Amino acid sequence: MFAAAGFPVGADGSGVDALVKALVIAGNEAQVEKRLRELIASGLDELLLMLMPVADEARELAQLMRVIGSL
Amino acid sequence: MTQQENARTILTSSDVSQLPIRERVGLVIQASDAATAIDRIREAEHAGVQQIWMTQSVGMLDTLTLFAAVAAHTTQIRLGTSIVPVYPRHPLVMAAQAATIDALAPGRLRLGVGTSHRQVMENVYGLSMPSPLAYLREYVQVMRQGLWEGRVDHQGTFFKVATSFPRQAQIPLLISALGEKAFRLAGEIADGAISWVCPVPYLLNTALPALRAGAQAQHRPVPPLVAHIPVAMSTDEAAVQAAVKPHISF
Repeated sequence: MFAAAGFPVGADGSGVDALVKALVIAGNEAQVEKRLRELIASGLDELLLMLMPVADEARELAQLMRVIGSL
Repeated sequence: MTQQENARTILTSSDVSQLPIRERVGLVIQASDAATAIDRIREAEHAGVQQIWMTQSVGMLDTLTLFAAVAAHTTQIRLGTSIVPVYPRHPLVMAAQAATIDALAPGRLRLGVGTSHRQVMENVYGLSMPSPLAYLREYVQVMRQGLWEGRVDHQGTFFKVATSFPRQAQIPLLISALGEKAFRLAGEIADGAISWVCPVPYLLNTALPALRAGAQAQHRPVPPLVAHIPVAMSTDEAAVQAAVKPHISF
């Protein structure tokens, strides 16, 4: 499915960086909000957002809730 | 806690496209204990999040049981499962659980079910998984007859069920989808398709056409595609890569 979508991943892990970049929305609150609006505008009906904690899960979850709540 | 009456409507893709964007963006809640999960869902409701989703893992919190408690601690946030695996539960058991949540939180549950992973079903539960999509089709048929029509009379390959439900509950029944055939099946029988770790170009160019084709074949309105999207609240690209890679399997 990843290859079919244009993201071939080799047995040696090559292509993973590009795949992660394509799969994951990352950024500050304004950048994430902008990307959410773009995804909806691209034709996706609904988004189911899953936080990938990076440094401080509680703080990042609160930020994401704030982004959604202020859409 | 007093429940706000949510008008029960089954939303099609076209209905969803008319909704404000905030109604179209839900949040996965993850927690290792029930109290934290409830706190996080209350926090989400307070922040204005309209929909939360929870998965179901082996040996972890039972999501539908947890939703019964969440119903009592929240008033309007919509609750979705993304997803509960079908093989470990008979469809009448799943339907009864869903009907219980619906009675406690009218109109707030969207039940996502799916075949889950072969590795988990076969090697952890020790269950066999013949013809997963055919199984899922029958499973949803049994639940829909019971919940929506109040009466099941199903003589199929996997289930032979005859019973009636005292209370009808038109709970939206969604299925998980990864491959093209599963998206088509969602179009044929489900009230939505839930993707998992699919790149957006795949969703737009492969999944959506399959979903639409399935709906068209059954003369049904196209159900919504609920796209799972991982989000990292960080501008540090290297840290994001390091945090995400362990969670993506190939």
